[in-house]
Amino acid sequence: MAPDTACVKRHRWADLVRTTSFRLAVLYALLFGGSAVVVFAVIYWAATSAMSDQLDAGLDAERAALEARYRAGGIDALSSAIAERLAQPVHPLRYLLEDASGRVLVGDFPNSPSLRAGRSEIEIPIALLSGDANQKRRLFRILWIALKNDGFLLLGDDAHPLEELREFLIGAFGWGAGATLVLAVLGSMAMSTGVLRRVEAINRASERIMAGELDRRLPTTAGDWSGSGDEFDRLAANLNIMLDRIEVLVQGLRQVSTDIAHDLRTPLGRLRNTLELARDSASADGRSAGATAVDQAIEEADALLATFGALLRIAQIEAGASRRGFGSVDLSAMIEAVIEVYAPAAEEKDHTLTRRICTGIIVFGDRALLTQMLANLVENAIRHSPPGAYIDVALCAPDGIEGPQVTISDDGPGIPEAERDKVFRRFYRLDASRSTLGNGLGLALVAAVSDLHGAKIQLFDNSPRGLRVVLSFGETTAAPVTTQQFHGGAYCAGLGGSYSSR
Amino acid sequence: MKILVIEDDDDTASYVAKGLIEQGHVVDRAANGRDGLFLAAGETYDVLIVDRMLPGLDGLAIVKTIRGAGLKVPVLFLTAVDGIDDRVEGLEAGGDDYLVKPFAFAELSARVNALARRPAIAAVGTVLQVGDLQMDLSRRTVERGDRTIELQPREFRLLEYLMRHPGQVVTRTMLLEYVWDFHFDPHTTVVETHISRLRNKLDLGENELSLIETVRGAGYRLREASPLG
Repeated sequence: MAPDTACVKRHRWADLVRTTSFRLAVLYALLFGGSAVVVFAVIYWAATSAMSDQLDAGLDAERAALEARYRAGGIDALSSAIAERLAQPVHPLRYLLEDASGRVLVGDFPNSPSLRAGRSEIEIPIALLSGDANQKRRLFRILWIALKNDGFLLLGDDAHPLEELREFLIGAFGWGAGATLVLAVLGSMAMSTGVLRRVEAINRASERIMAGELDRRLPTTAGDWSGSGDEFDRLAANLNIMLDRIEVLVQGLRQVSTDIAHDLRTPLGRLRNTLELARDSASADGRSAGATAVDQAIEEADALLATFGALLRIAQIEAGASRRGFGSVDLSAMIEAVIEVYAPAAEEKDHTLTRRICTGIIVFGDRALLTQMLANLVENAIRHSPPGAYIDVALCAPDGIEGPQVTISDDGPGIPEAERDKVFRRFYRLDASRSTLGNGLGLALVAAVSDLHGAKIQLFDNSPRGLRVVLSFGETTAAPVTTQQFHGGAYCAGLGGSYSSR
Repeated sequence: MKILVIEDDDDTASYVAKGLIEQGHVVDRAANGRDGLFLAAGETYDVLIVDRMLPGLDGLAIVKTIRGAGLKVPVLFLTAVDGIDDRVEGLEAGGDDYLVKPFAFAELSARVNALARRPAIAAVGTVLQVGDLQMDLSRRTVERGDRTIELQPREFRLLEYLMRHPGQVVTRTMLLEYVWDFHFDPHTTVVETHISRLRNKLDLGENELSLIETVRGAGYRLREASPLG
């Protein structure tokens, strides 16, 4: 069972991804994500630049104060002003003053080759600032000012709060984006499965209707407590109205068929009975010539009645009315039986009838109709092949997922490729077979029965000559219990037997 | 035999009644379901012939009712349409056989006779004996006089069916239905070829009448007395 369920799940998942609502949800998720990125970028830029401006304003104020001292007393005054500030227990800024020769006059900020003129941000290892073995680095907002002939002055402010703000904003956005995506995916899945369930219910119902349950209707939620009367309900309701009309039409058609049966078969039957009485009285009178003519008339009437019967039967099968009689049918045993029935008839025409039957192949179907279908096919091969033909009937379940296959091949005249579709039509007869008995309904009935069973029938050239009829049952036709048998239990008997007059 | 025909179509009813009376049966007729049920429940019949579609009460309902009342009289259903489900439905309701209109009288007569004798035949043990022909159902052997006859399984079933209806006409359709489970009419002469093979195995020689007799326009009949005598 395990591979089956896995298969079903994969199938569901593929279905889910294919749905429109899922695709829409993914699109929406991308759109929402995109807008969120824009909003974040704006907030990030605004918040961080406000904070940088604040830091810069502090640096600018200090610069103005120190510039005043420099103008008043040159580099020495500047140096002592900085030393004063550093001597205080709390000093918010850090300084570095170098003279033109590159000597550090005063300062608590490490020199670094990456320092640039003007404003910039730089990360300094904490170890350089405090002398302990801390591996972390710290961000500083700095202002580098060149002094006239006297090296430079550097002011640095601890930009840690700015760094924290940035980290906080990125973290917040990360969580927000993650939550948005999770919600979008979950929401889309919920929406898809909800929609999918409705569509699936409608699909299942339509499959049953196509299979012939014409009185079935598509499900709607209109009657439920949660009934919404949404688009799906309106669609289902409209389709149901359409189905009502189709059902009426089909019933009308069936009524016509029944009417034909009543109106034409009954008088024809009476005619036949009258002829029978006439024959009996004719033979009683000893008028054998008249009796022969009446016999022929009776035969004609019987043929007409048989044609009517076959037509009505095909109409009934096509209307799909008879699935009620479906059950598990042992196809292997049934084909054996059909071959046994026809073996003497084949022998009379000097045919060699061989069979290769895998045992234990079970299909789900109507026993009487399947028998008639197989009998028609075997009978066709016997009747349309010239005496002394080889006819082979094979039943096997090929490997893979396909259902069982019946193959009936002969080395008779075959059917020209252009005619192969037409032979399944009612009353269609090949020119070559117009002289033989038959009403042109045999293959039409075969087609109707195979349709009813969801089977596929194909005609091929048989090499070197003749016709090969292949009847493939879909896997769904098989009764679920016996599916295992197709692959495991069935075995090919090979040339299981041969009926031959030679 | 006493036979009740429940049929609303007057032509069919008189055709059936006339034929049966000619064969020496006593026939009662009812033209609707209610009268039919009344007669079937009140009198004792050997066979009921019931149309499925009837005004008032339909054939299925009649048969269900009399089966519910414990009556075991054999029932032959008549129907206008060769419905694929109809046959099964009819048999499930308690019918014993099924015939599609229009039918040849020979077919109806053969089926009525087969139905009427059924209970007596079913009571016989595992050995069927007709003339000098003996069939052991449990050992699956057939002997004619002191000669053992080898039969294929299907030939055995064919002969068994004939031996269960000795001296009665058995139609081609009945053989197709009961021996081969074919509920349709094949175009080829399958029944004829099987009968002729069986004859070849059963019969003793050229100069005697065949044990299986062909009844013209009707079917076959197994002779009750040995044709040698």
